[in-house]
Amino acid sequence: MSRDLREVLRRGEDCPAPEVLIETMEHGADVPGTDRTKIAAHVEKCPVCQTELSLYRGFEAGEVQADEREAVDHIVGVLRGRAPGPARLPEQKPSRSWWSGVAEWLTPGRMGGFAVAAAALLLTVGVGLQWQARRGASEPVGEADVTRSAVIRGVIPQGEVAEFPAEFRWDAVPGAAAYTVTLSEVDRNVIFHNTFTTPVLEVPVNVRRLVVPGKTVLLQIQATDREGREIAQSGTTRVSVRAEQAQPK
Amino acid sequence: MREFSDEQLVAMSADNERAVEELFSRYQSRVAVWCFRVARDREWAADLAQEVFLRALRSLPGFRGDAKFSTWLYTIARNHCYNAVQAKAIRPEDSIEFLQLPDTGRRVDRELEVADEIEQMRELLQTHLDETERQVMTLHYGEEMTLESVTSLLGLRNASGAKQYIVSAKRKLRGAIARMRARI
Repeated sequence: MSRDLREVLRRGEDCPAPEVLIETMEHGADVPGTDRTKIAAHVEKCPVCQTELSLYRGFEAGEVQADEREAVDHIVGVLRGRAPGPARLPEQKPSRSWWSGVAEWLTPGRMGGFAVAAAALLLTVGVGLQWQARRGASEPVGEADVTRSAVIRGVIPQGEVAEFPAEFRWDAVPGAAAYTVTLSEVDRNVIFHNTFTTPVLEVPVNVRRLVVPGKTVLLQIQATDREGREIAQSGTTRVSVRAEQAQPK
Repeated sequence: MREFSDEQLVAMSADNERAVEELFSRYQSRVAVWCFRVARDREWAADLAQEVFLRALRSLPGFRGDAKFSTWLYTIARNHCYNAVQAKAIRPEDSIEFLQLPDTGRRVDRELEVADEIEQMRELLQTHLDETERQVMTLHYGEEMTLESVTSLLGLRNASGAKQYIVSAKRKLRGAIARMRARI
């Protein structure tokens, strides 16, 4: 038997999502819908997950080597300084949330260098940006609401798309501690399956490469609470890449 | 603001601009280092770092504190940088390498067979390579990182960096496979 090293050393279907792996192994968390013992046993023999944990530790330590100092100072300087003035930022209506205004403004078509730089400005200290309160927007609703809303809504994108999305988003489910996402072909052949703690799926490039133009991919999301109980489902969302478009590189 | 934990700052971020500023400024250096190590080009790394914070900013309202903030931000930085590198179609610098184990004659169904083979090969790596060699091989072949990025991400200080570990790992694997063949 013969295997390409890339196949052997790529994140496998049995590998937990990085955030689940890190929370479980580094922070001792019990992520709903996952089995800590099983994850620990997997890590014991998986070089991919061991490497992931090692890299996270490096990130967390934040140590800058002497030969990296100049570049890192430059990058931090860019994060703090390279940005146009606040006057060029999108106008905010007083009644709208600041976050939603930024999110809406940053649609994919407008994600040019200016947009990125301008958004970076929002992150830096000392920027005079109009701040709109967002009170109530993220407050959890009561149990009654959870019971009523057993459907995960707001899944985007869906339908026919020019190229397979790099990212799917959906509305956060009150009380959800984890989201399990499955991408499959219409014959139910699973091409991606993993668990996340936030309502975002960043589709790995190698999964995007599997999507043939003209073919439909089914997306299903299941939300679970801290005890691992299912509290909502998305139903099946269909996404297909227009046949005339090339596959993502 | 410095007295607050990351998670407290996240909770305050909905209506407190300074909380977001404090939160993100705590991680600027860490994200900058990470992006630089992956990109190995400070301008590209600066772009990546801005995009990471932009993504984090967009996703912050959905962050419910189920994971630590550092885990969450690391995941964003990791995914974004890996996808950027892979989108640039950077591939392992040497030719595709194959691991060829002796045929044990076991046959189940095709899917199980593949999973079994991969597990055996991972076991081989686990048994015969040291930790750094495994990490180098994983990042270079599994994540398609350049040798320069691997050297940088792992903080390797030897003269030839990751390349040396690839050479030694392959030598060990060849030896291990030869011994397995001799036993069958």
